[in-house]
Amino acid sequence: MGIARAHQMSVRFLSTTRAKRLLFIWGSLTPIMLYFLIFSVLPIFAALYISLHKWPLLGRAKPFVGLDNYISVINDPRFWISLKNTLYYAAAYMFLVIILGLAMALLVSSLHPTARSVFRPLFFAPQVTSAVAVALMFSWLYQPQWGVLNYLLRFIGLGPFMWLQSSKQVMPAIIITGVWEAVGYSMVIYTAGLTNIPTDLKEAGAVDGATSGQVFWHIVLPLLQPTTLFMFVTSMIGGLQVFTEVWLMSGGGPGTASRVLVLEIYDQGFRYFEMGRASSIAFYLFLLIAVIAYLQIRYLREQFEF
Amino acid sequence: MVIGRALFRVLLAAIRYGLALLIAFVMILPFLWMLGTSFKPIDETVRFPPTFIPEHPVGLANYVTVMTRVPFARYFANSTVTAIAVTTGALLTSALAGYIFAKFTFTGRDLLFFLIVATMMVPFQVVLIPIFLMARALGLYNTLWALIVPGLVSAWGIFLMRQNMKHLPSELLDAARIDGSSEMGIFLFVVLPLVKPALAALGIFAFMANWNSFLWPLIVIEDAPKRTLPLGLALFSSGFGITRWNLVMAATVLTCLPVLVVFAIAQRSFIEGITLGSVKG
Amino acid sequence: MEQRRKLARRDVLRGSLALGGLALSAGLAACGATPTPQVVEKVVEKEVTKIVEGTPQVVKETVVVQETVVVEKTVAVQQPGQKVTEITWLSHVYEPWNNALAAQGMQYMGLHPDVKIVYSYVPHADLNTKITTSLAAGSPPTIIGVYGPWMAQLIDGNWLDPAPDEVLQDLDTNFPKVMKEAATYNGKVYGYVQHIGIPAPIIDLDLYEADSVAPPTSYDELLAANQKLDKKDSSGNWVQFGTTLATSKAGSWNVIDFSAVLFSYGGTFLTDDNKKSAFNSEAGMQAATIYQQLAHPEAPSDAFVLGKSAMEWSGPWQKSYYASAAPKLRYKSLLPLKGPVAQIQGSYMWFWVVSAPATPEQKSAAWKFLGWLSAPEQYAAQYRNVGLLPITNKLPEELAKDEWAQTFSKALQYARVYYAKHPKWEQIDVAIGEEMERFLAKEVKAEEFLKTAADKVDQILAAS
Repeated sequence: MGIARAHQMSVRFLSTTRAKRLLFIWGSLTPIMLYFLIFSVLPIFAALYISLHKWPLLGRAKPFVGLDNYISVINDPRFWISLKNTLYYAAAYMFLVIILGLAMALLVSSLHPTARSVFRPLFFAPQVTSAVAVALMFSWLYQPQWGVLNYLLRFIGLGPFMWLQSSKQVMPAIIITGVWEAVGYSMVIYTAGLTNIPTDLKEAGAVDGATSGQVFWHIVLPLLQPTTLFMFVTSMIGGLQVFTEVWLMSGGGPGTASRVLVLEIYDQGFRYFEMGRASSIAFYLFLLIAVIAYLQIRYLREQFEF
Repeated sequence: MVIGRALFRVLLAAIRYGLALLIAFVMILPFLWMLGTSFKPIDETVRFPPTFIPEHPVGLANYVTVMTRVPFARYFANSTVTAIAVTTGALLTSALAGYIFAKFTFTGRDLLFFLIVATMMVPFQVVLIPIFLMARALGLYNTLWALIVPGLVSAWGIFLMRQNMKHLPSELLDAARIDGSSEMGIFLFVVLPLVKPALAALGIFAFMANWNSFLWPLIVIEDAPKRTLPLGLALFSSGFGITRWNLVMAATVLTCLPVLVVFAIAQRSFIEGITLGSVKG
Repeated sequence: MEQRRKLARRDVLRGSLALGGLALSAGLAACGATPTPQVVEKVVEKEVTKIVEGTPQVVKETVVVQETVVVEKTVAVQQPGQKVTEITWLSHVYEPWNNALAAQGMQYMGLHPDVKIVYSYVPHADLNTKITTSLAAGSPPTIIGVYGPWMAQLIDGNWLDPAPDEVLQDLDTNFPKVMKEAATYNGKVYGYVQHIGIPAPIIDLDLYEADSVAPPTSYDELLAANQKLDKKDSSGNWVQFGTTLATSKAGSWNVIDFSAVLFSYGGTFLTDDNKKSAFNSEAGMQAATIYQQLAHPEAPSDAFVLGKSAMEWSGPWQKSYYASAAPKLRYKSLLPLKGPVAQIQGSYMWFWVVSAPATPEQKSAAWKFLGWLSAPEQYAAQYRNVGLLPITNKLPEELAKDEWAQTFSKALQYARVYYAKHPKWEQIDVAIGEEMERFLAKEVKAEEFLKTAADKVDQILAAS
């Protein structure tokens, strides 16, 4: 076709809404994807590359070793112990954070508006309290001889528990601390999600004779599904990547009772300076998270419309 | 009967408020200890069981110490500038990308989205050094830009905004298109006002994450004048096994106050149950 | 439509004004920041008149005083056209110490205008992260404060500069043998000792006197003393601990404290050639059994300062802590306890090292500075400020009458580095420390603790 005709066609195309839309989409996404490429994707590939080498950070020789790191990690009993502890933590954490966060969001929204703006910051306080202060306070709480928790439990006839000093109790203790810290976050996310539910829908339900329980179960909860999916995935990721609480409160102890995967990664990379091994553990963790996330999304897609 | 009903309602309300008070107490206790300790002289910080109200409070002495022994104003300025820059950037890019992923269909959309979410699944410790080397290669080492640039785009933020924009009625957007609005116009003036609560939530956490960030500034900032607040105040943290908790907690309280301010501003947007009056059924 | 758009634009304007305002005020605040005088804390002994049993007496009291040292920005007077060598210096945080070191750096710059020293510090827990990232970037600081167990790996990777001959002469002439030995790897010396962490037994005089117990000089005597000093109430809860040694592997403290008992009973961690574990032995068994009676996970971490423990092991720096946290505490430091075979206190070292990638001028300037920094006068200043023990042949005059310094200085003779000079020591340390935690929590018996730990250590050694 002639140049003039082609020009005419392209001008006409560019003025269509479809063209405008594509321009908008790719005009906006391209710089964003570029960022991801540079600051997320490339470093991940670099870490993958490192995992295929013996990479002592302080050493000079960094030989290619193929899958040796991956194999030696699987053969290391510490890895399996860490994996077990991590899964335990993440499952309990996820479950508690989502339920308690939603409950708190609902509780706050049922209060008088002025009360709401007072209680919300109070419930949010753990998020602002320094992790070190939290670890310290909870360590005192869990102190076997003079801690408040054992003191109170004595009245019910339970204990005394060793808490952070006991292989069996250390994980529940850290889970409680982690959940306590995170419910504020969950509450805020659910509060934002609750605002997306139009009041007329809820009112319509009440007019139709539904109890507030039924309104919640059949109207509110399904409409909260995008938020719940978000909380499922992010709290799972957060739970599986737990590090600070364990590091500050137990260091992975006593023995290996509270070792978690990211602690393994940190020790391998920054205490023993073996980046190759650290990276391979990270990729196992990544696989674990990706698989679980995929299953979660599939499950929720079947339950509700994704 | 009516009295019985009213009594029941009062009882329920009492339970609700009572529960809220109990939870608030549990949530705020460590923060109160933090606050109380920041007013103690050092010999009171080593108490077991811990005390919340100082016996001999030293007034603002600890705060004055913390603020004068380090160039506090400079560190505060650095933190403020970088945190605001990153939060603004993250808000815009997350909202934009989230909107596109939520309301448009195009080839590769689901794959790209999962890829973005997947980047959250790799622990930071392991990409720390590659990102560090990347920043160095880009000439960002030892600049405040290093604290801003990597955080401008957030996978978590995109995920959050997408989930919160799914409910936006397409009819509204189409109506705006028919009216002759540009796509960017629709985004800025139709979509954004409708997702204020989600933006507020995102703003809080993006600000908090950047304001409290410690590890990244630690390795990427060399010169003392460029330090951010948490890094600058780490000076008071423990050394030789001796921790001056009163100073450390005063520093911590100072660090967390701006976050509380941001929270207070942002939570005004948390109005539950918007009535979308313009949409029928 | 129009109205909504106008509103939105107003919001955007408001938002950007607020942003701009904040940024402006922040910028102004930044401009106003000027360096302030440094405040240095010192622990001094003051003579105070007190009424004791009705009669006035002159008593010595330790007090923490703060001194304001005005540190000039630059005191160096530079000759025109003179070349200035810039060296960077990294250490970990302890505020009074950092201020003292910074002041010493300034002092040196005044004496040597051809050198510029840029001093920085990071929290202790993040020091190795900072070191490894700067090494990964290929540009580490010229002088680094390094923890002993990291030395082997840094040297393996050729990151450290071996000391020049002048430094070797200095070490031979002016410092105790242990200082040169500790810094020697593969026949070369790699740094000056920054400070030596030598825990010594410290007792609470009030608690010992209340039960009329004499300060112990050996482990046997200590166990006998604890018969009286360990106190529990009727329900079996602890009221007072005779001794509270480290239980947690954080900071390697349980291994460090344990090493003293192990070494004094004739044991070691590794064989002399560093090829196999050696602590699963008769000596190890004895040491473990004794240690379990001295270390109690149920004790709160500040038990000694709180008056709930009659003895703790800590270093000379603890003095300033006692002075500020528990001024009424009466305490005394003892010499390391005797075991049946030896009298040894496991200790650790921190070194000042010079990094290899620096230029020859930087290296030479760095070594000269370190030599100056390690002289007795400078060490004395650090003792006054922080309580770090001077590691020189002769204690500086002013400290000759200081009983605390004297005891620790004598203890130096009994000091032995607790870690083996093996590149994988950190992993070995963690393996032993972990098993010990379980043992001290009474979840496993001594035999099992020693066997499991030894097996893990052997695995680590075999894999290197």
